[in-house]
Amino acid sequence: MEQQTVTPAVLESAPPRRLPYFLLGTLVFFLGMIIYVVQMATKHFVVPWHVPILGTIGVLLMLLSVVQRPGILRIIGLLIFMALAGMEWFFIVGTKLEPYAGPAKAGEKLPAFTASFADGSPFATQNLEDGKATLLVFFRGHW
Amino acid sequence: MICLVELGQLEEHHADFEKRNVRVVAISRDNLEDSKKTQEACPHLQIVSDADHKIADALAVIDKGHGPGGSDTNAPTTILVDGDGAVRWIARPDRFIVRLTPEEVLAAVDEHLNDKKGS
Repeated sequence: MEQQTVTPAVLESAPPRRLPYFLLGTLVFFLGMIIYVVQMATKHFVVPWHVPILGTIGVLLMLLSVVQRPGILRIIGLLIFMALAGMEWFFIVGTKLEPYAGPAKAGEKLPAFTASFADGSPFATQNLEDGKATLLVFFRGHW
Repeated sequence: MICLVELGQLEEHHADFEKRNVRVVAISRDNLEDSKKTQEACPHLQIVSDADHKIADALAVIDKGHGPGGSDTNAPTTILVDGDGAVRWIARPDRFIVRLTPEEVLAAVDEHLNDKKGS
């Protein structure tokens, strides 16, 4: 008897009290990206695992919202964010670098090479044998 | 952009490298024109244009397919060479979105360059 009176009350009051899961999911999703931007701006180049993890939590919240109240727009939104979260995972997992296994070895001289400095003057292995130590930094270029 | 940020950080710490008598040579596959731009942005580093990737091939610092349009590019790698041209230390982050900090590099310079001094 009691149950019968409680249950309809819950059902009636539930819709307005329902958490805005889709909005919440979107916020959580973008939080990961915002943290990444801050991380870049403050030059903390560590692996941003938080981006795909928060993205996935966001997508799960959106999924909850779609399960509660299915709608075409929600479903489209969910699919878009699912694809984005997938790309975030790929962004992290796909950036793996092989460990260096090349011909340069600690304790040995470098194989001979020639290139040029930005002013056009030659740069070769001999430039590294003038008594001054050198830090060679290979970078990905001006793009 | 992250690459130029990395160089920018090394540029900021140029006095720390000079104090240790270490020059910083930064190598990319950029042509001379782009290398000049990088040189202007980082006046205390020595920018090398390895446009025909002779150095990258000789030292095998190639990151296949991760350059613009799926081209090959330089895998971010740092090699410390002593005054006689002998390699002392080689480092590469395990992901190309990660970089060594100048503090890590300076610590490695102190560790690997000074321990064998006079040998």
